[in-house]
Amino acid sequence: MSSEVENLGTAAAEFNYWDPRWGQDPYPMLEHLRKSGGVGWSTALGGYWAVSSYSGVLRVLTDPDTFSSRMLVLPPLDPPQRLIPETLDQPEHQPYRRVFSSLFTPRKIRELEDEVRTLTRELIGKATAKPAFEFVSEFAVPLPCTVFLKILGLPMSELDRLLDVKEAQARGAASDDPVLRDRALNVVLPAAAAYFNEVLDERAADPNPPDDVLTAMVTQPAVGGVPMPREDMISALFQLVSAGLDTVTAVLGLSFELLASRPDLQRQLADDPGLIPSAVEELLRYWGIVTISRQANVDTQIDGVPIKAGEYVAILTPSANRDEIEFGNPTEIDFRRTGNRHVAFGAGPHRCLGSHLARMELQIALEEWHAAVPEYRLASDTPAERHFGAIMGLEELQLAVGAR
Amino acid sequence: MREAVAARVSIDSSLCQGHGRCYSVVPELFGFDGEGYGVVLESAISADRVGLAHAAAIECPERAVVVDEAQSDDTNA
Repeated sequence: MSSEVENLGTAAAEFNYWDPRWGQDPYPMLEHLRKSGGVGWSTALGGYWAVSSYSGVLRVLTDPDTFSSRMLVLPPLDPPQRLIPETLDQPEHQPYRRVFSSLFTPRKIRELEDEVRTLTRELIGKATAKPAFEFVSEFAVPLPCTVFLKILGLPMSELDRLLDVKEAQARGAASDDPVLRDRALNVVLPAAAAYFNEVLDERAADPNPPDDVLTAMVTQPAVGGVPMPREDMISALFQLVSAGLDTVTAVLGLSFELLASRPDLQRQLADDPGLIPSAVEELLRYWGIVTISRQANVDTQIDGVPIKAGEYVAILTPSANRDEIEFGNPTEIDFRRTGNRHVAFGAGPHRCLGSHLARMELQIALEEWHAAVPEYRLASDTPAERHFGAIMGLEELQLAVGAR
Repeated sequence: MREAVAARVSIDSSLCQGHGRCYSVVPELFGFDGEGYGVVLESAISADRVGLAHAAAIECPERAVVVDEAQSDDTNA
């Protein structure tokens, strides 16, 4: 036991959240980081402060003047990738964000509910017509991606290409493997930029443009009363693809793996669908899948630990959401939890723009699965392969209908 | 007959980022504006609604929901 702690101590000094070593079960390490003070220096990824406490994470997120968003992912890229609006600091950020936020308001999202419910039922019907099915490719990818591409204004026929773009950005561009990195930086991403430019041209020429993100970008003023420059529109599409095509998929995959092994939790949701909104919050808290970074603009401190201007910090949401100082019994799933101030969607001015959409999709998914499928289980004894990194998730998940 | 005011509820707009937790959890007291930021539907609340206001406050990640029980009955609602 003590040698395990010692090993974690040595590993913490060079903790790299991309390392496959932490993919399957990062939680003992995250707990170690919290118990060692919640803010610790790691020599990995060019050197950064790993912020694992809830208080530290909240502090960094809600103090954007001190902590710049210009470098969202570590190791730092030179030059940094400009992602609109996520890497912008104030005052530049607000007018850009406004162009997109009007399409993700609670009212707009409510208008999509019926459509999302119909699609959810279709996908469940198709998957569960077979005795066993692969949940990620048959449900967790198509549900959010269909809805998201519609909001963006891109056709579903481009989904495979866009998933490839997302992958190239998330893992390829910063990969240690030169072949993967070269393909991402010199093939996939430039081709995607050309494609985005083309669809923006088409949309700008459309006399009756639909109400979607592409139209908002080419028509709505961002700064100085005119639409944003074309390169910023393309950057925004990269950002939206990376934020929208991976996140709900990841939460669905991780949550259904957990539920499939916990018939008691399935029963709670089936017996009392009124519990589902707070169950969604609890699952969001439990997984808190996102780890992004900030850079200190000035000398400062986090939880009393001095941070120098220019240093990077990583915001370990998966750890903050299980901080025992903020949450009672954080490793337990409690669908009736109150005081659940999780930061799965971040906090501060960069709070996830798509949070109302994500919640609606997760809620409908839980409602429809537990209304349609009395019980489901893991179809394989081998645990699903998981990854850590900027967005945690699992590669695939074999499920079967019925009790074990 | 007007009930006694037991507390005043407000949202600190400099903190609110539109998470939407208040109006999801307590739609009786909170709604949202055109951009999704929280708005208070009833700011001067009676004693039986103070619990609801606190229930919203403890769900706000930004600590933007303020329940002030010190300022109560002596001013008009």
